[in-house]
Amino acid sequence: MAASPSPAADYFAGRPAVRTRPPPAVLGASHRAAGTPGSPRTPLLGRSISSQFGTPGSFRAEQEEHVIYELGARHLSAGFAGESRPRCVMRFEPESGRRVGDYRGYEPNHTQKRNRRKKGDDWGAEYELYRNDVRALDLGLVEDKLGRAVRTVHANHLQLDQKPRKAVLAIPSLLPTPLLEIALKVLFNHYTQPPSIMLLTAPILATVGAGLRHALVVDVGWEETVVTAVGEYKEVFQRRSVRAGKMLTQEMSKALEEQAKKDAAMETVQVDAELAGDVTERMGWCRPRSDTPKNATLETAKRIPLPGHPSKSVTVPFSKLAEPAETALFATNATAAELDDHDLPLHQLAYNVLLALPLDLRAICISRIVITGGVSKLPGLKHRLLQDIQHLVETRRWDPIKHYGSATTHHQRVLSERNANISARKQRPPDDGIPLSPAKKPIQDSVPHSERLHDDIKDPITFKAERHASQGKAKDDVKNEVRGVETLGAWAGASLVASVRVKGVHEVEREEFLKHGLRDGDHVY
Amino acid sequence: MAAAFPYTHYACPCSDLTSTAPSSISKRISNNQPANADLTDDRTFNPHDPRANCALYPLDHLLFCDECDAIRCPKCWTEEIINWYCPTCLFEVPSSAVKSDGNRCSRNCYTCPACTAPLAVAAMPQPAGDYLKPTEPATEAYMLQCGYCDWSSRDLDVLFSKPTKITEQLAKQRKARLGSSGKEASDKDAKPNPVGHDTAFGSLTTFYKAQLSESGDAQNQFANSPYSSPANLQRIMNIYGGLSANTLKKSRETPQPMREARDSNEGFSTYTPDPVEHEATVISKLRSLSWEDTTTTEQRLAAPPNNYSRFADQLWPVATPLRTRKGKRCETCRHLISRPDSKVSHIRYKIRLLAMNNIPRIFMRPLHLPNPPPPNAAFRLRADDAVQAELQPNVAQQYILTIRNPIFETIKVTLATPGTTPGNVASRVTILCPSFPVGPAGDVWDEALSSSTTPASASNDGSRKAAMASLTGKAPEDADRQPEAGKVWDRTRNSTSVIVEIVPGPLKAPPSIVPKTEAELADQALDEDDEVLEVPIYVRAEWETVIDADAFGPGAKDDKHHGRQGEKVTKELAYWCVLGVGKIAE
Ligand SMILES: [Zn+2]
Ligand SMILES: [Zn+2]
Ligand SMILES: [Zn+2]
Ligand SMILES: [Zn+2]
Repeated sequence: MAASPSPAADYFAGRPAVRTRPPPAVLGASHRAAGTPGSPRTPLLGRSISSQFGTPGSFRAEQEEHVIYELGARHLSAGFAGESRPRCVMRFEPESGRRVGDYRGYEPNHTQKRNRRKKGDDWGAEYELYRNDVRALDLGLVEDKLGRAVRTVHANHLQLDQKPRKAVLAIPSLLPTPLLEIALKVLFNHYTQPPSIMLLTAPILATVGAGLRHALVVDVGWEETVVTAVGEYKEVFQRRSVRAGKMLTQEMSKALEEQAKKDAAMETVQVDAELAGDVTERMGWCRPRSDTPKNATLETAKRIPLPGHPSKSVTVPFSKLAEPAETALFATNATAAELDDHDLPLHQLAYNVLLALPLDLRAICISRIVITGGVSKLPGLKHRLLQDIQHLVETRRWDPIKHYGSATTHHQRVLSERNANISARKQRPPDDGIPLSPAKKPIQDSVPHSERLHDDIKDPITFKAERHASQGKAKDDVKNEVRGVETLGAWAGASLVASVRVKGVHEVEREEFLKHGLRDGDHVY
Repeated sequence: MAAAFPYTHYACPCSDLTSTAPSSISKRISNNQPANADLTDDRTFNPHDPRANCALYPLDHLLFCDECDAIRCPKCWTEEIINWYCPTCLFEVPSSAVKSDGNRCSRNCYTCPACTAPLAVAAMPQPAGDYLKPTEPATEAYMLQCGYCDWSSRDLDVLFSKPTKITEQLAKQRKARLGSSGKEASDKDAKPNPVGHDTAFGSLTTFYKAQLSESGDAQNQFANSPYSSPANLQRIMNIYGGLSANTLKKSRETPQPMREARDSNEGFSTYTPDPVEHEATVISKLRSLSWEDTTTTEQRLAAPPNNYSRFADQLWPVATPLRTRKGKRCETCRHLISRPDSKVSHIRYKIRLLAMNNIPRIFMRPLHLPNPPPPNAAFRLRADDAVQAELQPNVAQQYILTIRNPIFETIKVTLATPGTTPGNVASRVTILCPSFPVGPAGDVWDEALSSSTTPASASNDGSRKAAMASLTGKAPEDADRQPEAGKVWDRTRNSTSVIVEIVPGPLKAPPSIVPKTEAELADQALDEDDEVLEVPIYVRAEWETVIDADAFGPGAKDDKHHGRQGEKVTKELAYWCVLGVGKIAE
């Protein structure tokens, strides 16, 4: 504000003496704010304030506070327990890997030069900290990058004093052990010196962040989508697919390049990972299942400027911006035969996990679908995914066999018979008690209670007892219907866990780690 | 690199990448070795390695610990914050308030969420007609306005009733907004609107706390467990971790310590596969808006309140983040190596042990200056001003390498460099005289008189001499001198120069007759910066010093490993540095 003092600010600031004077006077203003009237020119304010308030902890019994870190393939978030959002989210990008004093990233025509970089397997490599294939990874580089990010986080955002604070580290489940070790090493060796680090995995935290104990967590991340069934805060079953953010941005890049090619007068435009990611985040969307692909009446065109070429832009119809999600995440253009186990579309993946669950847990989980991860912010994605899962469940039920081949007709007959049975049973009017012939009914009434015909399952007393028992925990537990539950995400989940002072068992002690490294027992994940 | 050529970057020996010395420190390579020989030699520091970017620093970024006699970099010093202050209003924030204010200024300092320029408080312009109507006193309204772009808090419908205490008014308005969206959700139970993130977080926190205390009490009533209050902790521990036999038994006794959250008051919200209004509105809004109306990543990540703002009209003003004054300590011996004055208005340092004053410095310049000589870097205004001639591949160039000694002892310097530079482009490097002594630095006045004061001009020693020569009428002796192997080129009181011969390698491999596959071509594609010729040099300095309390400053006296006073000790310092020579022409 001082840099651009507008006249209005001066006039209305209410502290005219302050605003119109050079910096020493501003210090004087702080003086006044602190309730110590004095000469505005005294530059000793800093001392007087710190002597008043500068000794924290001595008079305020500070509760133990935790620093929460969340590590992802492309970002590091950090903040304090009990807060709903991280104080900062650091993204890993080429600029963060530059030398000290190298400011090329700020030059206006810089992006052009970078386009020379390779594509293909390397897609987005500069934007990630690690990938799950550790063999091809320079672990030293990962450590350097992470160390730098942690130092930046502390210097610019957390700015903590010397008091040691415990840390909580939220990690993707099944984070490769070498990477986990590096993360712990970097945090323990940082000068804030946390005495211990509690490790928690993202699916569990997403469950906590949704207020649930059981859930089907669909984590649509960067490199992979991980579907995890969580029961009683434990990871029960997990499947992965490469259909996630990376593939999505790659498809977006393809779509944009195609579009640019169509605009005749343009030479070939290369859309790099940065631009494609940006477009996906800002303009990408996901159409609902029933939507007709060409909704001509509502069609609008979007002009997307190309960085580095101030005058150039690509014009894309809005509907086209939904296509990458179709191809990358839901594989609508691929036949079942083309799909491999590692690249199942998301709904299929979720369905497969549900299918593998025991019946009762499946019934619970299907009504607790928690969609999280960076890509889950794509508008429309959550509903689309639920719709597709519902569609799968309706068409295939819980039958592990997809194609019966020559037995198809037989199977369908069996199914339809079963269906008929079920619907017939449903349609039967609910009658209390056991169906008894009218002739027997009076007898039933006259028999002493203990000698009557008895059905344990349909007994009204059993019903009542069951209802009573369930009252405490879940009186209106929704089961068996496809339903999504919003979550606050892994970071907020970790913040919740730490703020209610739950002690985690997977806590790594500093001394222990520095002496022995990760023990065998430690990597439960 | 962004720095102008030639430059020198120094590596702190604290990482495994930079701590190893080349196989033989006195290795002198002049033969043409196959390029791969050095690539396999792991001990050569490769400036093109992506890790090198995290290890190299301009010299003024490095400090020096005189207890450990070692370079210290951000990786091997620890920091402690002396004070927190706002860079805009220079108000020092007491440490107890730092965290609760979100490490941001709680006074009236805000920056524009769209362009990061500072915001000013401005009065709302009154409609012209109102001035003429004396009926009601004009209600004053103020807003935050950006002086650079046209953003103002009016875009958010945020107006202030008074121009002071902006932070409080802003917080109140935000709270009101979040609160109303939360209430809406609980009103219509059937189709809940998305509850705000913060509201949901708040409700979930209360929910979990209530659940924990409830289940804790319940257990205390019937299970007279020996540990009454940690019991629930114990049980929760089981939930998060493995179950031992003992705890398993206990958890069976109370199978449901905590239930799930059930409604939006507990922070729980659900959605069904049926299309829901709010998502449709997001999409239709997206459909109608242009690219510029959506937020950039930088805008979103600038401050926590904006993390989930998808559209530009949702951006909340950003309170100015605080800055800190930090003291720095050597990680090994905890000795203070840098400590600024604790007053915000003072920019002096009480302690500051710069590496620049303690380790030999290296400069490089071409032996034959181009005509006309490029202006001194200090007088350059823009990066583009330096039209830097590109290096011709396969043409040998000679450079003068000057080592300058900042300490008061004569040092013995040994330089080592790989014969061919590591990386994708192999250039040959030969140091004609890799081992030589450098004289001691005199006191301040000697130094000031014998060379000019700015460090950058030190590299101009030769041209200064040439100028002197032309003044005195003597023919410059440099003109016809030929560099000789094993001979020092030039020597001043505390600096010594030697000649380096560099043959820049070709960027592209010679065209081969066999057509290459696409993979091979892609393999040959150069990375950014591959055309920059950087020469890694390992510098090792050795000197003898008499233990003397005065020469090494206070503190050295009572240090054990310096030996007794008056005794001679040999000291050694070694590090990698990288000389940026120039860009190789295609
Ligand atoms: Zn270091
Ligand atoms: Zn301020
Ligand atoms: Zn602005
Ligand atoms: Zn030290």
